[in-house]
Amino acid sequence: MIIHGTIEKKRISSQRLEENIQEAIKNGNLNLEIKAQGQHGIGGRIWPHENKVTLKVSGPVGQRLGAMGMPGTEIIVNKSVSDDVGWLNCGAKITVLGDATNGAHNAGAQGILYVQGSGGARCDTMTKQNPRFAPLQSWYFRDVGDSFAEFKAGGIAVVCGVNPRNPENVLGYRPCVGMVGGTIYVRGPIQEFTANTVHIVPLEDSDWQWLTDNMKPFLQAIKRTKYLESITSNKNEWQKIIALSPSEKSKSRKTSHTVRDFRRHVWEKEVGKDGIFGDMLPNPPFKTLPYIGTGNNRLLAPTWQNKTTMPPCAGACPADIPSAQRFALLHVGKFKEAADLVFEYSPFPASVCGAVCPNMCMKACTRKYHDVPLDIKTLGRTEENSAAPEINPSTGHKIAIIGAGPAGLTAAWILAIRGHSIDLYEAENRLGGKLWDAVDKGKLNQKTLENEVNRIKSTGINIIPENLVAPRQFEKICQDYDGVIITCGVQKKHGLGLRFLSTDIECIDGKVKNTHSGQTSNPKIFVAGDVISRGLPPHAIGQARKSALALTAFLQKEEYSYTTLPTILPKAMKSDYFEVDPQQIKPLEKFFPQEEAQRCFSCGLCRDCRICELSCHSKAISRESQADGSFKYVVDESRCIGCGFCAGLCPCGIWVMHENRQDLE
Amino acid sequence: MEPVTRLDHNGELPLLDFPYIIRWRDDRCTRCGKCTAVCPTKAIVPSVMAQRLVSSESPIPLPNTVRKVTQIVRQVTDIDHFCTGCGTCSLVCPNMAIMPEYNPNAKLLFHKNRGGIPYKRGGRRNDPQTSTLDKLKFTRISMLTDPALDAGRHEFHIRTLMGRNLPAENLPLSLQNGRLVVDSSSFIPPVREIFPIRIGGMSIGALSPPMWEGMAMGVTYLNEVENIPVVMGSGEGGVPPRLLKSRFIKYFIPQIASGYFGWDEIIHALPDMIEDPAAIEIKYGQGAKPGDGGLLMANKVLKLIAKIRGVPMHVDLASPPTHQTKYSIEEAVAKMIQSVSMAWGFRVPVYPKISGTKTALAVLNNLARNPYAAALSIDGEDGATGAAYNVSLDKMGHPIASNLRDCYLELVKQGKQNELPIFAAGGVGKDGHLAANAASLILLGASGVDIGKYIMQAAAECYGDEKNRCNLCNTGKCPRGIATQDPRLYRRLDADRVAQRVVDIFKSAETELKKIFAPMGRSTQLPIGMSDGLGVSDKAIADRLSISYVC
Repeated sequence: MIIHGTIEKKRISSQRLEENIQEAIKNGNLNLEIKAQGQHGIGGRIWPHENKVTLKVSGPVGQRLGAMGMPGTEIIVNKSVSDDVGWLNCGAKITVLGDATNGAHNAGAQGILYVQGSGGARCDTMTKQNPRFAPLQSWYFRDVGDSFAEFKAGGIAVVCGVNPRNPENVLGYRPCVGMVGGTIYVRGPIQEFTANTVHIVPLEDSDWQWLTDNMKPFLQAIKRTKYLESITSNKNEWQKIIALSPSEKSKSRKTSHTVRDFRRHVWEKEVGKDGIFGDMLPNPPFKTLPYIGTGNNRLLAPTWQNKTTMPPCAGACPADIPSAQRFALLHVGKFKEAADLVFEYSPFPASVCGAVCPNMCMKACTRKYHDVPLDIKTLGRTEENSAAPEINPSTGHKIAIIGAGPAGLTAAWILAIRGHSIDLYEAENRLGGKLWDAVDKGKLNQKTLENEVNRIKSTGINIIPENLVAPRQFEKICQDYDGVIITCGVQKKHGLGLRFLSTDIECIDGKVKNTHSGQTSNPKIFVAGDVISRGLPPHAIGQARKSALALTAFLQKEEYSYTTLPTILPKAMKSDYFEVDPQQIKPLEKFFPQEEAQRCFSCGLCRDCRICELSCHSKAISRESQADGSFKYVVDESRCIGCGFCAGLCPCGIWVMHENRQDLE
Repeated sequence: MEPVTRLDHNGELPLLDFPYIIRWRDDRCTRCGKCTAVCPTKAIVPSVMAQRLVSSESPIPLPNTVRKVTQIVRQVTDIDHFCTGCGTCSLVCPNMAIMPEYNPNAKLLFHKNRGGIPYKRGGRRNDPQTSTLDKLKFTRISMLTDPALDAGRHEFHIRTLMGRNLPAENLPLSLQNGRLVVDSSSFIPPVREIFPIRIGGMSIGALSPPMWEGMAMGVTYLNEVENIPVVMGSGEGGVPPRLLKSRFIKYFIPQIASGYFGWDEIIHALPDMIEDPAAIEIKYGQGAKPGDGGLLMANKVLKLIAKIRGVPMHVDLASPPTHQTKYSIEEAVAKMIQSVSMAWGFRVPVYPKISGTKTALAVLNNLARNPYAAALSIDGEDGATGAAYNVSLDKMGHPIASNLRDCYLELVKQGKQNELPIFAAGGVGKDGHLAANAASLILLGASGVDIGKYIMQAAAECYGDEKNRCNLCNTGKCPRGIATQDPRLYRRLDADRVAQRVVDIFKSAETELKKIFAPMGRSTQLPIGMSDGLGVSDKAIADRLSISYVC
């Protein structure tokens, strides 16, 4: 049956032609001949059920020939077709004896398209694969246009590449963009394809089998059987393109390692080894360091700074008495050593520390911020009856001391213990000078003073009482003795006590000119105590000790230097370790030095508690015993990360963190 | 005796005054010390904590006391060691036991001026509000009205022109015997076709060697391998001679600024240079600290920097706020552009960079008249810096959007919008919307944009944010190794990885730009000034920028 697209020389609408075709089939006409006049969608949407419908189409066809075609429909067009042939094809077999223009088989899902000529642009785009049906087939005898197989998701496309219009590229410009499925068999040159979506794989035997089996009916349908031999003679002329799997795609998307390779093979080759800073940097520039460094790579480094600062008690004491060290000895029961230690600084622990002195040590004590300071006053009183330390062997040096107040007695005591022979000249007949004022005022027990003076006498000094030194005697003293210390109290040059002073000793404004250690312009003559400036007994004691030590150094022809250390700050100590225990000053009989020593924070003085060693997570800290019985803590720099736990946890402020800048030039 | 330190808290600050509060978990902490070892400000220290617990376990009150002293990690309440919230502690903590927490009640600025020294920092303006750029939307979507493009399928050419683009009638071309002949005696301004997002000038010095080199390698890779012609500014700190003498210098824009650091090395390298640089940037201002000169703190001026810049070590390197031999716009800009153009035989585009300002139009008009001026670069107030006074960062400067828009519309008025490109910077990618911010500026009239802070955040995991997190760039203690010259810190940073990330960032930005331009129907020409594509739901912004108000 012939169905005309032109009736009475007038083109009928696409709608009317469609209705005529559907009507004819309904009436049992299964072989139709359509003489088209540009109508749209010819031959699609025919549901012949078990039957077969054949449409032979001639004349100019419109767009979307065979659109939504169904199984059982066969359409043969005797010339070229317009756009979108086989659009959304669901099973029709369409043979085009000419060219298919743009969009052939766009969104097709099943069926077959045979094209005798070429495909236009965007052929085989959006094709699908439904597992219920056989895959779509699109066959192009010559070549295809640009943007072929975009977003292809299924079906098989075959491009035979015979006499291609573009002999350099049978798949056109940018094929396979967004292709996720399906197969393309192609014969002939390809210039490019979207490498991030598809790849070329070799044809398996099964591919070749399918291709050669199905080539025959295709060539028969398009009347080109004589090409069978040349098209199927060489498997190697064919390429198979398939989509990358999602995992292959994600692999190709990443550029990992390629930048590193680029640096090695391109960058460094051009700019020089080790990069643009390679000639200026000492470190290997492309080698990274961990965030947590050791050794030179630490940001901070700890040091064990034992005894490099003064505890506040010692720092505040005018006589430099190291109370914290005394407590450290008492803490371990070394009572004799503790007594000897204080005697190195003062012969008056009971009279001065224990009575007269306002105890600056206690006012400075770090423990005051926690509860109450250490009871250093009462501690002094416990030494009232302690024996003098051992006297050193005689040095043979003879020293005169003029004035037996706290300064003179201290100087005599210190020098006598060191083995010098001492003559102590005193204008009055009792020893102690202005300490007697304190006795008179009831601040100091007379017995205590006498006990301590007797201990001084026990060192074997020669006391010359009731001897007010006159100028002539002074000159003789200067000649007879190896050294002289003048400790005659508050005097003016022309006052009572200092009239004896020879003119060769320089004075300024009536005061004897002296160095910080009390040395006068005559190097063997020293001054100490209130002669220099009025002070408290502890000041006199401290100054006398300096003069005594300086004179000893002078006699031994040594350099004397008095150095003080900075006082440690209270916040360096960790009071949290100590329970708050606000004890009041106790009476002597209830005072136990060893017990009191427990309360000492040991500021700046390592108590050897090993908290640092135990808390060091990197095990970088260890304790080393020295041959002399002392100890130290050392850091293994190759382990230490500079975290500061040692410093943060040290009860005594011994560990100090500092910037580790040695590597920064 | 009263424990005085416990009673008198004069000058001591409660934790609540601090911008970040350390949340430390006793139950998780293993006391390994990693957090305290890396803390750049020493805001956390190991310490001890005493507890005295009274318990009674009998049926009747029979109390028992237990004393416990344990190690803890403590936050210090010293304003000079305030926690900046960088979070390196949580990065290195093996047990997730420590983490800084932002404290909106902080009163940092009330206290951070001890000793009469105002607060200095790095980073950008601290403003967590949504920026104008982030309020703009692309509201003109082509579907059927004009060809919609497919970002994945269509071929795009996301490129811009850096350099003066003379109109055809002004080009020294003539037709002789049917052939186009170039009059070689006339000056044809040099023009480069580049990717419209550039890496803005950040100096060697402000940045560490691996950061700078990592970015440089990434940029070179993008050009050589990915065919994305990204260019990178040098900042004011010189250019390593090895790079100057390599063929890769064509991807870089050396900067000349008022400190002239490193320029003797550049001039010495001239005879050995085998390629011209992409352009030369003359820096007059910086968006983050307008009117203030460059500043490199002494703690960053170590050996390498001293060498590259030609200065002594350990000194603060301040660039004056202006070029010292500047007497007027006409004279100063003209002579700078002339001298620098001359250095490369007038083959290199030379343009000034200014900070966003109400006076930008005056500069623009001047450049429009100067045939040698290749472009204008404007850096808005949201730009970042390596070191500035907080007051400059927070309160000085002009937002980029309206500044750029005014300049572009002025060019339109003069008919020169296609001739003189404007590059915009300052806050591009501030909230991570790199491509969208860039596209917005392009639609407002920019030929391209510069990024700085974004690239550090995205390529090297810079911690900085709008809540003043980290921002330690000025101290030389950058915990990421980005903005420091301390090898212990900068060697934490892997230059290869930075390069890789730069590549990732630009590749993805290119795709995102396509995703924006494709629905607007643009693929081959950058839609510079296509402001009908923009909309904003804020009427005032819409009016000010001459774009549509949408709601």
